[in-house]
Amino acid sequence: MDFLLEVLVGGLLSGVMYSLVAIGFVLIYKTSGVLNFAQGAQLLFAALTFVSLVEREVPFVAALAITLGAMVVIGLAIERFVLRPLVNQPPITLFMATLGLSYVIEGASQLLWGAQVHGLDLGIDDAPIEAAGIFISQFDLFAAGIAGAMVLALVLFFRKTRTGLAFRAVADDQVAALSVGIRLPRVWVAVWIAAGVVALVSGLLWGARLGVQFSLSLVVLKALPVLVLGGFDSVAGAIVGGLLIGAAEKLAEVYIGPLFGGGIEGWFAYVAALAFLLVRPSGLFGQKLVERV
Amino acid sequence: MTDLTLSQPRQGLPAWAGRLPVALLLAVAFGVVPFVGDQYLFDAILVPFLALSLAGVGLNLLTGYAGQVSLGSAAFMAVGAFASYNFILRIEGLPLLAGLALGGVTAAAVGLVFGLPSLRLKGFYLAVSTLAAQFFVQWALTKFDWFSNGNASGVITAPPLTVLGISFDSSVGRYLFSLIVVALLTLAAWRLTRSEIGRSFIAVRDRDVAASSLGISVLRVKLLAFAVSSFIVGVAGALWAFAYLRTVEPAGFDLDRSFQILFIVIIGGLASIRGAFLGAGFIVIFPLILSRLGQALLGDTFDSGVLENAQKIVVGGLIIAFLIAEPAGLSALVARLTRRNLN
Amino acid sequence: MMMVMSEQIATAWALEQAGVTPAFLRREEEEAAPPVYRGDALLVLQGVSLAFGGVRALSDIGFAAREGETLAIIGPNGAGKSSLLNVINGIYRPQSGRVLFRGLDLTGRGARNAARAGIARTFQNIALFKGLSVIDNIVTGRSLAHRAGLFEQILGLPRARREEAEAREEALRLLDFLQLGAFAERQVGALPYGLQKRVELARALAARPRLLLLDEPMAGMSAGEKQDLSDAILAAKARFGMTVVLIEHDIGVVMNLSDHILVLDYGQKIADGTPDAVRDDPRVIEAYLGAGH
Repeated sequence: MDFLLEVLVGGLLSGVMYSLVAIGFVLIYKTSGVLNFAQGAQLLFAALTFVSLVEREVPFVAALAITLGAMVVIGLAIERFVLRPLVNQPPITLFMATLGLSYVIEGASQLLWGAQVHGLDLGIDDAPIEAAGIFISQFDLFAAGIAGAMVLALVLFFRKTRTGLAFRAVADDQVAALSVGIRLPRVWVAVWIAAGVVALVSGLLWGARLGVQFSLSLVVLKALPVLVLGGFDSVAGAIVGGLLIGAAEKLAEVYIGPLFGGGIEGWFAYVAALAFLLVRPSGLFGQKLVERV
Repeated sequence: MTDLTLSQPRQGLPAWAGRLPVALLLAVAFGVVPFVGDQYLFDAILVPFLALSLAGVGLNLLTGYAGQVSLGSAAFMAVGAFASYNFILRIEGLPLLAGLALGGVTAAAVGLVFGLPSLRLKGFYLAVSTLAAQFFVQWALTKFDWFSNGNASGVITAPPLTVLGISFDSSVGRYLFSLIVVALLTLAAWRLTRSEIGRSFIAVRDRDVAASSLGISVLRVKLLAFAVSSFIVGVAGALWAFAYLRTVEPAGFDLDRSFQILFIVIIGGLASIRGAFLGAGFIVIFPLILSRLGQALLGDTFDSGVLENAQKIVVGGLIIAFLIAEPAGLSALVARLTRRNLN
Repeated sequence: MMMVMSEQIATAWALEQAGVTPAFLRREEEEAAPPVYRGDALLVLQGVSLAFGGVRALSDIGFAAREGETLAIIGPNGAGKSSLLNVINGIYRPQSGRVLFRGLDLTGRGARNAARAGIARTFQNIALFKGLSVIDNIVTGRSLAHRAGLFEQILGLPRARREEAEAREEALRLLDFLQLGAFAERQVGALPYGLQKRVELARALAARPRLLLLDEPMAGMSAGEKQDLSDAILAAKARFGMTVVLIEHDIGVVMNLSDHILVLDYGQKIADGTPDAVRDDPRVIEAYLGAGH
């Protein structure tokens, strides 16, 4: 029983990190209507830049600030050179553009910082601690805490600030938002920068867990089933979906995986999300949209 | 969606005139190229071009015509390749072409299963759910060595390419074999797009509620699109494995391959058979030019890793630039150019 | 051109009333229009209620449309007219009540089953297939007549060829009938609005329906265009003998076209009768002129 609980808690904690990556997608999708596949590349770029700076004896805080600056610049560039020229194109075209973008960013990150694997030490001990009779990884706890704080900060930002209000107006109805004088490009810039920040934080957390290397950009593939489950446009869906997928994946790895000889984590989350949608087609929080005809 | 203009018979010209370029192209492909091409042209350019074109045609039926985005094409290629391999391996005396067809049918069946979510999901939700096919198939082919006749890393080797006693196991032979298969299936796909079923694909893509109000079964159309598309993509996978690579492992059919096929369709032009060939040509030839160019310009100053990353940046940038400049794809560009020349 | 057409159709209609078929309307002997029965109830709705979430769209609607009549549904915006049409052809499933067509219970059985039973329709916001030419749109209207399977169609076997030829012939006849011949090979998206509405009517007629549903067929049209389309509808009725249920805002058009009027307000039926009876109904006058509208 304790073992089950341990697995469950471990799953939920890594689920928080899925949620964080998924929220990066949601931000972009809500305002631009595009599934930003470059999120993974952005995440890789952020982690690689940060770790390379630290390895070059740049102080932690300065490295963080520089990386943040780079993410902002990238966000601005994406808005200006990719999104704006492609406005009003169908979603599939935009998706393709973000795929191209991910090639550019991946290529640039490795050209800039090399392709070797970097260890990233955030100074958190990975030793398990005992709480209420079960063992939990300290790092998992820390990562979940940071991710949770990040989620909270984003929620507050979009509830309380003017930009946040504009963001929600745009997400709700682009045309109406435009007609009340909200400047779409400005919201886009804000959102891409926010997504860059999310990429930085999740890049550091995932990088510390997995090592900073090319495969880090594949973390997006963990977030996609979360989005299918929770909805591409729902922050709450991303949070709860991440927790569910994280927990289900860990449980399956321990209890179902051995039946197949292991290695099921590549596809299990997808199949689980699909199975869930079969039972509940509108997803976790999605309203059943009635199509006007 | 963008203006998915289907090629129309040009006004003022007889119907056969519109087909003249294709006939001419086929005549050159069958009658001239085999005699003048060299091994490099066949092995490194034409055979992969043909296999990828066919995969593009298959995906275009699903994504361009029926409007269902799939990110799992490579999985269906893999199913086609591994199923063909196993049919030919395990059924004594099974003709090669029958093996290919059975591989295609297996891919169609798998496509049907992974197409089921399309009955409930649309757009990106469906696109992401097709990733389930991508990861599951790759996992299963690697995990269970039965599929690769006991090879621990899942590697399969091409059977001899012999049809009716004629061996196609030379560079030019593999080219001709691919050409015949691709030409026949492309003709079938083209006929399909002109038929009642092809129109119902477009109807479901453009207005599914209106389509069902006309009595079209949206459910049947979507599943049919998945099955037909997967059949063609599956045969393309078998060509890729047997005629191009000749030894292939499941990792050769990874997510990047799926994206590559989708690129071919988008760059070539959605809902355009011709576009699949244009897109495949771009995808095959462009990196070759780029790496030649890179070597010529930079020589040996940089290692291959640098070159590879630089190439990645250029390819990515060009894809973006291309989407901005010509969102309707190469086929729209070609249509505009030919129209201008004719008038 | 428009005027010429409307005159032609008006003449044709007058001739048909007199039992004479002009050359341009003459069809093969076996395809003669089915006899018109006035009196039998073709379509019956009983106690239909529909709600979206908590919002009531239709409350306890019941009425009958007789074979061969033209029934107009009128009412202020948001009265539930389109919802009612969507219930009739099975797109919406009402929470309670029944839809009976030719004695078949079609309630919530889906648009496809409604089409198979003999119901065709047009849409308020034109729902043509933008990727198809004008003639191919109309040919698609004959989808139900196709029996040939995938391989027959790809290989062009006799049955597939015959069905294709038949569908194309029928489409050509309808193009002629609705004066669309000149636009046969054009992309529908490029046509002006009025012509698109006409193509959509042709597509619905191609199915040879027993019941034709028209959702605001004349919205956004000039007086001349409205006259043309009214004439076309009358001519089509004379030729094919189907029952028509239409939604229309222009009271002049409604009075001119219909034998039977149903008035909705806030999802409730407030009047149901002949044009003369409805015109003088105080509740109808209240709904149209009263405060709050």
